[in-house]
Amino acid sequence: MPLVIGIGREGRGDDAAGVRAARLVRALLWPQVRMTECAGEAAAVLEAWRDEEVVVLVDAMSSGAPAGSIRRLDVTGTPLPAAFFRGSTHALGLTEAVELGRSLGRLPATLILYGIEGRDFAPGGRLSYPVECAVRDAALMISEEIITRWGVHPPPAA
Amino acid sequence: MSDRKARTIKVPLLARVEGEGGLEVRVREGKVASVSFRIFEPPRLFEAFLRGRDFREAPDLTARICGICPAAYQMSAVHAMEAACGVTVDGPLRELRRLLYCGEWIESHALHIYLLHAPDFLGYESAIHMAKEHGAEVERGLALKQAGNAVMSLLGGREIHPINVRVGGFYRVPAKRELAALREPLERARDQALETVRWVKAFAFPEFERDYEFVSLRHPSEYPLNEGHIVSNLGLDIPASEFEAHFTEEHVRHSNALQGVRRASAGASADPRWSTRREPGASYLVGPLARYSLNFDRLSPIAQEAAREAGLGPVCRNPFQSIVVRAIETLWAADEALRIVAAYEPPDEPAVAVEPRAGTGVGATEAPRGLLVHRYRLESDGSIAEARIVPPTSQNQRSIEQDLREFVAPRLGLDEKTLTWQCEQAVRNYDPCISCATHFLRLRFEGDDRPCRS
Repeated sequence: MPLVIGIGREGRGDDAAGVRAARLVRALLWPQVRMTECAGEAAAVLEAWRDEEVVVLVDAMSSGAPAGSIRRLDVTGTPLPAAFFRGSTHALGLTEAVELGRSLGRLPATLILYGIEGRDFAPGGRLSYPVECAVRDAALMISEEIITRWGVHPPPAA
Repeated sequence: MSDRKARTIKVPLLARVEGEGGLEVRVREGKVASVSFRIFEPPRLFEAFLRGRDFREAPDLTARICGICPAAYQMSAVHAMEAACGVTVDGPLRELRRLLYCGEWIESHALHIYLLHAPDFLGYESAIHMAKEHGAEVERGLALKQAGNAVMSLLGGREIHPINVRVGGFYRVPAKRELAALREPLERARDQALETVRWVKAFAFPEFERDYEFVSLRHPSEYPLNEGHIVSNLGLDIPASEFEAHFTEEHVRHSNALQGVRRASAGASADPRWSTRREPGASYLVGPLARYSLNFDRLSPIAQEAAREAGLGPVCRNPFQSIVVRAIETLWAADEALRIVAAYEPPDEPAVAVEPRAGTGVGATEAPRGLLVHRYRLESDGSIAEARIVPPTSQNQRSIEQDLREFVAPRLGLDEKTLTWQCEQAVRNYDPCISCATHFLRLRFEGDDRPCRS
């Protein structure tokens, strides 16, 4: 059964996009999918996917694309771009978790990353409108991939 | 052949430090002409942001300043508020605060030792590169860090930015069995910390020592975390409330962070060297090296023994050996945490009542990177009229620059790449924490992965 990991924090504007999308996936597919949340600190992320076979990560990103853009990366065999390793994150983050996991042979057999482009990461802020819309779209895209790739079926409607 | 008379060593963006900073060393006529540790991360104006907020909000608001040491900000904030309101927190609540701090030290030191600093000594660009050939060591570092995370999660409510700390104590305190569950991971962490000391002591350290003025807290019987007088090796011994009479901050053009310096008007000292340090703007050093050198006798026996085994005396003046000192402090923190867990009896209430009153309170605690001072002036209704926060990296900036100046001067014959590497390493000795960057992905897409939708 795939594990969905929502990365990010509430109360930091669009930084919460990943955890919001992951919660929606859980709501759509529960109990056929497991979900956990992480602030994004590398050691905790590595711990969260320990012994997992299939993991879908979803996180806010800042790549310069329009706010609300959604990108999907299969990072199982492809390193994240070198630009990702900018030295500004003392609290080693998601990219470091992925690449450390790769160096240590601790990546799940399948690791998919969904990124939701954020606009405003100010403390205390709420999700911006385009990101709020993208959270729903990303949750649907993730759910669709889980259903089609891993044969997970959503629960019947009540 | 390059001209050794005039050159500039420039690192536009330092790697493996928190936040955005760079360094520049200018050499003219074969001498170091200027050294700048440049912090260009924009100021975040937390002190202004705190004005008008309720005194109970300070721990949670200031925890947001740093993702690595949020508990330190919370501890300095609660102690300052309690000092302003005339409240002392004692017994099990005080012990739980120490335990939380031990968790943060383990977490922060393990991160810096294994993932940020060790690659310098072993010649790797990053921990990711190092992990390919030193996988077992990196795994040990991650496990050690995870033990710190476990303490933070239990007491703080979550691993980063704890939410369970309040003025007067905690919102919820753990049951005895919950705390007992930490015993096993902490025992493992203590073993791993000892292995860490043995690992890092074998690194090659440049021959370099400086005659620092060490500044840290000192407690009558404990290795300092939350309490104590502010002392220095030049005879300073003051309560935290007098910090601003002896230390101040100055603005320099190349840094967006104020630089902590000694105040010219500080009082006389028993040490004759003090007279040379009294000029305005003298640097001083806070952090593991200072704490260790001023409090070696307060370390637990296992930590003292490990220090001796690592070849360290009771005073360490080589900043490159700060990695060894951090390992010893990690060992001490695991040992201290185990002591607290073993002796724990839950308090009757998770917090003592704190009623606001008009006044000023100062809180000084030992963040992993050194002395962290908060001062608040409160109105009678508990609203914050004025806030001042002096973090350790701000205090160490001038010392970083002086380290670089003295370190580079006799090494100007080294090739550019080696000297630049060693200069970066000299800055990372301090584990500088320039900011707590908002967590988000920074991606530049190359190759075959195309946007799904944009």
